[in-house]
Amino acid sequence: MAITRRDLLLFGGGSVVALPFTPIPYKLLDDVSIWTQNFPWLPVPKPGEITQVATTCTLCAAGCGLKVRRVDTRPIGIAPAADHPVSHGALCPLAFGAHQLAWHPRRIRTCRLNGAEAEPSVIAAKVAAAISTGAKFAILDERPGRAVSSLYRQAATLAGGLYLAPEAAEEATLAAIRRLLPATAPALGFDITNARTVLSFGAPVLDGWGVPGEMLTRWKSGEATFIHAGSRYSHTARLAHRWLPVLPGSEGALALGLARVLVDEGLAAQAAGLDHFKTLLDEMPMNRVAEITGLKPGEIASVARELHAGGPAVAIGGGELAGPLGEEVETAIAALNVLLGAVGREGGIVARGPLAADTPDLAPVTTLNQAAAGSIGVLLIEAATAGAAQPWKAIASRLAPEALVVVMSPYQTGYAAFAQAQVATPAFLEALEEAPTAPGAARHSYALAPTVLDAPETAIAPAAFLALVAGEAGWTSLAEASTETAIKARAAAIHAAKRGSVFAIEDASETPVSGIESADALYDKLAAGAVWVDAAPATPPLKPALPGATGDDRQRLLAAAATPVAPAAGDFAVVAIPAAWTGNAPAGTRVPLAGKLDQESHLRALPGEAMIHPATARRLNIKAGARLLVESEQAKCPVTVRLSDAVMQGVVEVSPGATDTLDLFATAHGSALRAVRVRLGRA
Amino acid sequence: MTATTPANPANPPVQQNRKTRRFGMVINLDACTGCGACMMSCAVENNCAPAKDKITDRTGITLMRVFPVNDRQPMPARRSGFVPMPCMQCEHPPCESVCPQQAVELDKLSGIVDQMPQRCFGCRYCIAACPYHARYFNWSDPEWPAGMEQTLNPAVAPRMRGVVEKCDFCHGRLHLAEDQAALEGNDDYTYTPACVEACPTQAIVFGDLNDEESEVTRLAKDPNSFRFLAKLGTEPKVYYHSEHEWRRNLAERTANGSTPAAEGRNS
Repeated sequence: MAITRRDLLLFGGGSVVALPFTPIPYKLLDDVSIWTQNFPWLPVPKPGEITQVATTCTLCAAGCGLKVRRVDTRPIGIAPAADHPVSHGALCPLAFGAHQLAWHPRRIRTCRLNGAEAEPSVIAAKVAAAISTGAKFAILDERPGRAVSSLYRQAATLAGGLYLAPEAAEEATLAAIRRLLPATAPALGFDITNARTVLSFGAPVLDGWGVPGEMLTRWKSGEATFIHAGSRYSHTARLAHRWLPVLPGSEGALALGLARVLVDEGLAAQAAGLDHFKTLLDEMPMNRVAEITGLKPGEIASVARELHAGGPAVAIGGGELAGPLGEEVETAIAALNVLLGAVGREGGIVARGPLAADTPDLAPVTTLNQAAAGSIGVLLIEAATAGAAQPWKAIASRLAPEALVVVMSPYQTGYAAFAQAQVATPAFLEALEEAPTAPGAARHSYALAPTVLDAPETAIAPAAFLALVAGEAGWTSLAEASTETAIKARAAAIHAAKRGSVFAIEDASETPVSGIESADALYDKLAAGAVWVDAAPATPPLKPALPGATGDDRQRLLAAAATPVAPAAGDFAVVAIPAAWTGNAPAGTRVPLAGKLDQESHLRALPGEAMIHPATARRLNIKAGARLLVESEQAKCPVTVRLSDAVMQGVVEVSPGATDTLDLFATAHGSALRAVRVRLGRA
Repeated sequence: MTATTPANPANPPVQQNRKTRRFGMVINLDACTGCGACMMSCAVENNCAPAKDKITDRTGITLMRVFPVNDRQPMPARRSGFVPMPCMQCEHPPCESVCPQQAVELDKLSGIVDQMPQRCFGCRYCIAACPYHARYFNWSDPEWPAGMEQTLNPAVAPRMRGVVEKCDFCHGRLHLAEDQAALEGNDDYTYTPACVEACPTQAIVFGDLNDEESEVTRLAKDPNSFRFLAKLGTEPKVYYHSEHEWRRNLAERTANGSTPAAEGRNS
């Protein structure tokens, strides 16, 4: 049979038609799919033995208990420690990606001086040489209260310099209350576990504030009412049982308004100085309070009555991460606590009891605005992973011209960008670290985070670097300093006091300190990831005096509370407030996976975004997605606009993305404010 | 003639007579704080890579995603909340029937809708078919900063560009639990997905919906529990729970004009 051209065409055409009905193309697709799954650039995780290490999170000051899941020696995940007495089995989202921080893209593995690699000893010699020329030395400790902090204070003492520590936002109201108490009064804390009503003045109490696990446990229990007074529709405002949308910068007026209702209706607790304080309140009539805060007088009155009826109630100031309220406003909130009878009461503000006493010859703890402007010649900064955020402008205003700034940090972020020298320190999990009492906590605690990963050989612990400086400067008492020695001394002090108990994460067991045979045994337990928690102290009688004893005091307080930040009608300025949370705190380092929460979803604002109400945007002729320049008295900062009708009109919420974003809120006096007037221009 | 295999006590026939489970979840919307811990722990457990610069909320991989929602009331009277949204693990999964590659399969033993990226060739029919927007396409290869690949979970293979992925109730953890049960010679096991473990307020309850005694079954049967888009008949195994009517109304968001809204980037 002859095969014709037509036969060939028929066969070819038939084959093409039949091919999709055979397995051949699908097999090919399958094979290609499988082959492409095995491209060499896709990492293949190595299997191994799975183990867990109990430790403590040191990303922020809360000190939550956690378990690091490892395959062989590699950390592959983090889980919360159930029943942990500090964190109550809760962790913030960032903790879950914290084990990846050692490989952060901005990790510093070698020390650098003026942009070039340098040995730590060279940088230490430069610091010592600068000190020897008479330059004023200061050390900024981003995580005060640790055993290693005592080494910093010793160094400041030996150099005749300053030990600077930022005041934690959680402690701002407590500090104001301490100013109303005798100087011998003990340290204070919020007894959230027993509080029935919590009033927060902008403080993000349900979004990473203090120890998140404690707050959330109380919130979920339904046994406490949360009232949030703030200008931002934040996570805390959403979750609170009641939200009071006050105008920016009016928190002080609200506190005085609430105090006035308590006094006028005879609901106030008796306190010294009530007569003077009434004089102050007389100058703050309710219609004026309503005008400043934007709330109705009846609404303010009902909150005051709710606080009185729902006792024990506690009022918490302390700003969002980037926005402190200011000393006078905190004083007004402290006075409200006094009138609520919260000071010295279970469920209110309680004494923590003394811990190991400081050595008397240590340098006192100083805040940045207490340092003279332009005075610091050598500044050594220990930038803890997610320490309190301070605007760089505020720090820079305290520096002398040509000052030497050295940052000890594992990352080239935050303050490291402004320093001449960067000392590469171990990252999270790479060295023994401490978690002292969380700011605002009712009871003392102390935990250690043991070493889980090997640090780079070129990294040096802050205490070891300080020892190098001490060696160069001839401070013999510090030349042998080490983190371990300092921690052992702290453990010995806790053991000697024989108070409280130690909780072991691994088996959830609790051992009284009095049952631990030696200080070394206590140290060994802590170094294995356990946490010491103090016994609940018997609250001593606290007798605070209300502020406003002198005319000057009253005028200062009134001036801070009664001055609205809002621009005048017709002014094209707007008020900026920070939309900060721990995930975009500029002083810290973002966990690499944090983008899941903002960049890859709508859950949080992206760093560097500014949110404006559509009506404000229309008034200022701004469109969504526009690049703008936000300009305050102290700084300019580029932002990307996002529209949201949840933002107050006339307000721009700035999500921090870099340290210079915070400069918007800096004052000329080395501090910062929560709400500032700004102008918006084209970037 | 049928050959019979003599019973060997040392090597029990694991695949035969295995207990059938229907793993499911009940998410308490009243307890969700929108913190995102579930999203982060999910990303770590499932080896999701950090976002590259150009990745957005539309192109990112969030196998568990928390959506902010509200009741559409004007401010400041607005009520808001958060809805964590994993794959609903439907009993009748639309994604399974549309997949030309059989890359999606309902596992009858666990009730989990499995996604097999090795078979997927990226047509994305399943993404179009999923009424819950719970599927994600890998628009690019995953990349980790140098050295960070050491932190990957060996129980989960990273996925390459061009394939679809979704929540599989932490299948790696299920396998570990199954292996452990096989070692111990019993079939009585359960496990905890990463998001359940991470939730700081224990808002997510996980378990076997076939077990009448389990907490998850009890909660699923609660009158205040509901499922999203139940009218479609996909029979999701993820239930939600709320004491508040406006949150329960989220379930049928197209029912009328006054239903709650999901908050967008520019809402």
